[in-house]
Parts: sequence; C-alpha cells; structure tokens
Amino acid sequence: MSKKISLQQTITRRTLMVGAGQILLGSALIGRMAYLQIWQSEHYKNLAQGNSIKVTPILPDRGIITDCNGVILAQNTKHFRAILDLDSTSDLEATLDTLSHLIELPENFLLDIQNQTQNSHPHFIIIKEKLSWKEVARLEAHAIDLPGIQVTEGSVRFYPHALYIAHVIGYVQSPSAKDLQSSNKIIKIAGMTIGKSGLEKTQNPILQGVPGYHEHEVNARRQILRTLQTTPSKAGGNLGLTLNSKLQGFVHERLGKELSASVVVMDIHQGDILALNSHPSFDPNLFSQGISQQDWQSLLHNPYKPLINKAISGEYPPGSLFKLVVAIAALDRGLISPEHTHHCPGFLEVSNHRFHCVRSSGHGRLNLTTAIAQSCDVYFYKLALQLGIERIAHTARLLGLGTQTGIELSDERAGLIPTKSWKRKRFGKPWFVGETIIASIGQGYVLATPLQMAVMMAQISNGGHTITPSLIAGPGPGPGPGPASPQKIFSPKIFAPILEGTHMAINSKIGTGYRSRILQPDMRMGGKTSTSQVRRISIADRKSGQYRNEKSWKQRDHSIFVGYAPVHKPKYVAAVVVEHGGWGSKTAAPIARDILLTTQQFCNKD
Amino acid sequence: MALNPNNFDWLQKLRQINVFVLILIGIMGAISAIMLYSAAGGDVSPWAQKQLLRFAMGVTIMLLVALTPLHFWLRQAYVLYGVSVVLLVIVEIAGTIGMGAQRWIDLYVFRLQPSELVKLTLVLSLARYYHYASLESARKFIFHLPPLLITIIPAVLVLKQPDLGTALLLFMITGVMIFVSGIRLWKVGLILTSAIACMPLAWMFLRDYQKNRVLTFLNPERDPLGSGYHILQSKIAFGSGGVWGKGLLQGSQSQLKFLPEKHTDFIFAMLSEELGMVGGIILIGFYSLLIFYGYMVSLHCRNIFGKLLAFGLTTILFLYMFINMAMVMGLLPIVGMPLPLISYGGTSMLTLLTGFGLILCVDRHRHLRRGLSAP
Repeated sequence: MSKKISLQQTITRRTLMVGAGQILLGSALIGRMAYLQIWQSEHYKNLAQGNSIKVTPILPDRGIITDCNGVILAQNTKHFRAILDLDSTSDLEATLDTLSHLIELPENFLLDIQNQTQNSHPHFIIIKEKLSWKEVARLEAHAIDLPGIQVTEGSVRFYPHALYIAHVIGYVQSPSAKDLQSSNKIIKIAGMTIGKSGLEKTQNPILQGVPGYHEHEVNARRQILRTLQTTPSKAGGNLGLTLNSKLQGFVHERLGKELSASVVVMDIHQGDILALNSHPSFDPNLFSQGISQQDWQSLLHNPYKPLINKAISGEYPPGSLFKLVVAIAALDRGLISPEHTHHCPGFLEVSNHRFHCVRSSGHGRLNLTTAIAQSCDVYFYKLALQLGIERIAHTARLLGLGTQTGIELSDERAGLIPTKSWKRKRFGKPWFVGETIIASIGQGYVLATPLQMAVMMAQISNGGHTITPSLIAGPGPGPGPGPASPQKIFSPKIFAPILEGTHMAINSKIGTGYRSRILQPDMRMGGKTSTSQVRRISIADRKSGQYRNEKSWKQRDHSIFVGYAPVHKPKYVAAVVVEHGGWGSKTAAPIARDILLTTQQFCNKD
Repeated sequence: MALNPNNFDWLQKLRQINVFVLILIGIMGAISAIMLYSAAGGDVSPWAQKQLLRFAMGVTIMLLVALTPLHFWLRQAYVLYGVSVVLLVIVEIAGTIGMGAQRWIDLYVFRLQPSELVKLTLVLSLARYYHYASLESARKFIFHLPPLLITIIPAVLVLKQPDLGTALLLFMITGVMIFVSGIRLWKVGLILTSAIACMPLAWMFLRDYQKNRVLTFLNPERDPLGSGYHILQSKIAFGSGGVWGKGLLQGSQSQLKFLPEKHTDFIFAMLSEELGMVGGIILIGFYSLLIFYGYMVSLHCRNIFGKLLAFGLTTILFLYMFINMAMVMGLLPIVGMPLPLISYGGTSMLTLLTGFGLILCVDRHRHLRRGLSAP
C-alpha cells in the first residue's frame, strides 16, 4: 500500500517535471512566433507581396507626328503579335518547337529568346509582330499545346510618306543591348521601341509616353486569378512639325534624278524648316518591324549613303557662297564701300603663286555687286588679303557657320571655319597667306552643312536677324514658335549691296544663275551659285581644259546653290547641294529655282 | 455514495462531466469550422460542414466514453491493443493506397485509420501495465522492456506504411510514460544517449523523401521550389501575418494557394496569417487550458491506471500540438502531423475526442482507489 502511494508520488513528481518541460517547449513555440511575426515580419511581407502579385505592362501609344497642315507623317497601326509569357511556360523548348511548326519564326530566333530571357524584365517576350490572320487562327486553334503563348494587340510605327520624310522623322527599333543600359527604364519593358534617328530619336522622351500596368493576383502557379488594379498607359505627346509634306514630297521628286543630294527650305524670319531632304532616301518602315539582315546590309553599303542625313551631316566646302561672308566682313569693318572697285586680270599673283579666277580671261573692273553677280574670285582674293583670316572667321561665326545650328536633330555637324590657332592646334603649322586666299572662295579648310548655308543666307536676306532653324511647331500643326530672342547681328545697310549682288547673280544677264531665274515677276529669286572643288585642280588639268566635269563621279565638284525668294521681299530660303553635281549654276540652281517657285505656290496662303 | 459507480443513473453521470472542458472542446470545434470555412475561400463546403458533422459525432462518442465505467477500459486494454495491431496488419495487406501511404481501411462509411487507434490502445495498455507495478519493480530496468516491446510492434508496422510521424509519436508517448512511471533518471539519460547514437543507423532506414525532408528542414533554401517550398511558404504565411493578421479570408498565402495543405497539416500557418500572432497565441491558450485540465485530472486521480491514462492521453494532445506547430514554423522537419481538433480529417479528431472521453471518464473516477483493480 505504502509502496503504491510512493509510486503515485513519483508519478506526480514526474508529471510536474513533464509539465514544466512542456511549458518550456510551449514558450519556444511562442518565441518562434514572435521571431517570425514581429522581427521577420517585414521580410516575409515583402515575400508574400512578390508571391501574389504579378504586374503586366500596358504599352503606351507613341505620339503622332504631323506636318504644318496636319498631314500625318508618323502614326501607329494596330496589329496582332504573339508574345511569350515566361511565367506560364513550363517547358519552353517544347512550346517553341510546337510554335515553329505553326508560324514562321524570324531567323536567329532561339538565340534572341535566350538573350531576352537573361534580361532583367523577362516576363514577356515578343515572339512575332504583325501576325497574319492565318497565323492568329492557327495559334488560337493550338492554344492548348502552347502554354505561355498569347496573341495580343500590339502597335507598330508606320510612316505613310516614308521615303521623303525618312531623314527628318527617323525610325524606331527595339532597343539594343546598349540602349538597355541607359537611364531610360521604360524601354526595358518588352515591346517598347526607341527612336533611333531623326526626330524619333531626339524627341523620344516626348513621343514614347508612359506605360501603364495591370496588377494581377496570381496563384502559386503564377496563373492570373483576377486583376487587382489597372493603371492606364499615357500616350506619348504628339508633334506638329513646321515641315510642309507636300513641299517635302515635291523636293523628293525633284531630286529624283540626282545620285546624292540634299535640300533645306526654310522661312527666313521664323527659322521654320519647310523641307529638309537628303537623297537617296530609305524606307523607315523597314526598321519598325525589324529590318532584315539583307536590307540592312544594302543600306549600309550603298555608296550614296542613304542612311545619312546630308542636309545636316554633310560637310562641304561652301565655295563661292563664302564670298558673301568675305563681303559682309569687309563692309562691316568699313574696309570698302559698295562702290569700291578692283580689277580682275583673271588671276592674282601672291608670293610667286598664281591664284586663278573662275574666268581665266578676267572680269575687268568690278564693284562689290558685280563681283558677287559674276562670282569673280580675284575681287575676293584682294578683300581677303586686306581682312586676314581672323576677321573673316569672326564674321562667318556671326553668320552661324562653324557651329551647330541647334536644329532638333542628332548627328548635326558643325562644319569648319579655320583660324590660325585652329591650324596650329590641328596641324602644328603656321597659317599661310595663300590659305586665306583660298578660304575666301570657300575652299581649303572651310566646311559648311547645307543647313548652315541656308541659315546663313536666311540671316542675310532677313536683314541680319539671328534665327535658329526649327522643325517642331508644337504639339499640333501650326507655325513654329519663332526665334526666342531675335538679335540683329549686323546693320541692315550692309546687306543692301550684298542682296543687290545676289539679285543680279540670278536676274541679270551677267549673273551666273541667269539661266535658272524665275520668270514670274512676283516670285523671282535671288541667290548665289557655288561650285566647290573636291579635288585640287592641277596645272595639267588646267592646261588640258578638261578639269571640271569629265572626271569620275567621286572627283567631280559639288554643285551648290543657295537662294531666296521673292527677291524684293524675301520670305523663303532654299539651299541645294548636289554632291559631285558639277557647276552650281548648271545642276543645283535649276533645282533651287523649281523648289523656291513651288515653295511660294504651296506656302503663300496669305 | 460517490464510490460506487453502479449507483448512478445516466443523468447523474452526465452532471459529473466538467462543463468547462465541454465548452473548451466546443470552442475548438468552432475555430476549426471557421478556419476551414476560410480555407475554402469563404465556403462551408467542402470542409467546414463535413468537419462540423464529424465533430458532432466525435463529441457524442466522447460523451459516451466519458460515461463508461473506468474498469471496463482497464480490463479490455490489452484486448483493444491486440485488435488495433491486427488492424494495422490488415492495413499492410489490404489497405487502400492514399497519398502514397497505406494508412486506412475503407469501411465504406468512413475510413478507419488504425495508426490513430493504436495511439489510444497503446496508452491504455501502458497504463494497465504500470497500474499493477510497484515502485521497486518500476526501478528495475528490465521491468520497462515489455512497454518498449508493445511499442515497437505497432511502430514498425506504422513505419512501413510509411508514417514516420506516428511511429515517432508512439515512441515519444511510451518514453514519456516510462519516465513518469519512475524509471531512474540516469537510465533515461542512458536511453537518450543510445538513441542519439543510433540516429545514423536510423538514417539508413529512411526513405529518400524522408531524408529530403530532414535535409530540407536543416536548410529550407536548399530547394525552394521542391521540398523546401512548403516550409518557406509556411514561414511567409506566418511572417506576413504579423501581430494582428490579415483578417479572415484575407490571407494571400492561404487564399491564393501558395500555402500547401492549408486545410490539414498547415492550418496553423493559415490561422497565423489571417489572425496574426494574437490569434495563434489565443489558440495555444485554449490548448494549454485543455492540457492543464488533463494533467490536473491525472494529478488528482487516486488510481494509477487513471493517472497514467489521463497523463498519456494529455501528452498525446500536447505532442500533436507541439509537433504540428513547430513543424509549420520551421522548427521541426515536416512529418505529417495534424493540428489536434482543428485540422480537417476525421480519424485524428475521433482519436483525440475519444481520448478526451477517457480523460473525462478518469475525472469521474478520480476518487477510486481499489474498486478498479477488483476483478
């Protein structure tokens, strides 16, 4: 009996020990709960969030680009695209294999997929754009065998007037690996495109818009259960251009026969670009849908460089056009009066070197106006010798040469206005007088883009106001904002004899461009022909007399003409550069005549 | 008058049952139904309704058991044990394959899970065995060998199913009961040491998935989408629930099916996600009250059979609760152990409620000393 009781006592004691142990274990449970639910709570809350929500992007529509009359130059067309949702595929290879039997996949497709899956936002990959109805039907029919493949509506950039606006508008493409490293996070979203040239590139931040997104609730298999929240995308801003697409088209047609040329037409008061062409052109639509390797190679290796916008990137010796700069410099410094005359014997001898005039028999005695009209070289050689290169360079810079004009396009070149210090820096050699002489006729080191030539002539013909060339009018069609703060750079009095010279150059029988004059009295143009040498004329060439246009294309002179109209109340300026086109008066001047005539017909509404 | 059970009629017997415990059990049933309602995304089907029906059935059985005379169980303990072991063997031969493990016999009305039954019969047998023991015999090591033997037989059978959780539970129950029955503490230390020494040997007998579970438990990030997935998702459920929880039906882990087995083994993770740490602690509080009651019954009982029976059954409740909770919180490997009275499933609830019926029965007979051992 007593033993029984003592066993009971033992049991009681041990039960209490077990109870104590259980209290300890229970405390461990509560401690663990506290650890997970208080200390680690934030960490697990983030994990839970990532578990349950899946974000899918809504791509914004890219902004529409219109010309000055509201004609659409760049728009978006809707189409069907096949996309791959990586979250929903379990066996990627099998899916892609099935897919390849149903629709034709682009070359190097599998490699592309592998690259894209390594991207930081690998949720969606675009398999194919612009599916045909047949392909859509086939994909829908086999949807069960294609987990993760979805057909969605996409949009692709479309340029209705592709060929003649290519260089201004540019094109869009899927971002390259280099683009993806940029600070522009938006383009990392699959399906976003990025402007790669022209306005599409420089105005990309405005045009691209802001993507929206759906927040979906998903289950453990990342299948979408319901949409929690939708933030709509914001379409990109529209752009209205100063460009006149009709004129642009006309210029394109007019340049048709030339191998390589560029044209700039602008309003001389506003700086509005009315037409800006580079020839030959290309079809920017090729890029929107992914250009084929073959097309890309043929564009890249075309000797006439269709991908380059020569109106802003082509740098040419301005030739005789530069004589206007020398003339303005001389008048501005009070070096000469407009009536000042020089005698032209056909050449100028300086330090035992003979500098020839364009007319080897000589022009005889000329004043400034007739020197411009007849494009006498010797007259300007003499002015240049008096001025020196530094003063010429100063005036040239005031007129906008040697620096970028600031047009809203990338890849604009600055041209070149040489100075003594520039030469020392560049070649480590002193400046020679002879170099001043050839610079005075726009040869040697001097380089200018067609746009710079147009801006220079605009500032001469508008009475000396600075202008900045502009392509963008605003968000819609209309005239451009005009120069922010127009500055008078020279006294208008200086320009009277210059403009008289450019008037005579076209409309007087002695002028170099007489054959290209406009006959309509109220639309007549003034201007300056220019023939810029690509290759130095050797003495042998000069003797043979065959030194102008019988050479191979690459060695022929550039044909340049910069004109304005109407001649008595200038409004428009046109610069035409035909690469290796020969005489300025023969090739570029007639083109400029047609363009300026058409510009006045198209744009003179008031 | 209280000494002779035969003098009581049914009504009087019912009055002897502790009402407080009944209320506690009722609360547990309600919590279970609410959580299963939430697990189904706000629907009484497929779980909550069925569970409530079973619960009602279980409570009825519990009350019936509570009203039985205690000596019946003392007398039939070994017989019942024998029956349950035979049933285990039948499962081995003719059991239905379910979840990759043979655990139940399909009786067409309900599925009998003998591995649950054996927990009760084992405790009954052990209580009976020590009921007739003296302190001297309890001090002898050899005296504790038969209890080990009657544990090893069902444990091996259960392990073959394979159900590692239940097998370990059986050993733990026996171990705790041997400990309580007065074995010398240094012997306990010896057994524990040798058990630890045997662990590498046991490792060899584990199946691959069981080894995986252990490895994954040691390092959950080892395979976050495979074996570690469950425990990681469970920890996310706990952690993201925070102190106050996300609210009933609002747990993203549970409602979006990230949490596996949320209506059965992982129901506590779901409860803690939706009701927070506060909800979890309240539930532990309810369990503590039930366990406290069970041990109080054991402490106040004057006969050793009742003492050990109440103690063993209460310990089962504790082990269930502790192992399940520790497991879903990542403190123990995943072994397949339901949360007592809350998880969806009939057999374990039936076992526990029957067990509670026995505790209530002991409670009614706590003053008996010799009357029990009479025949």
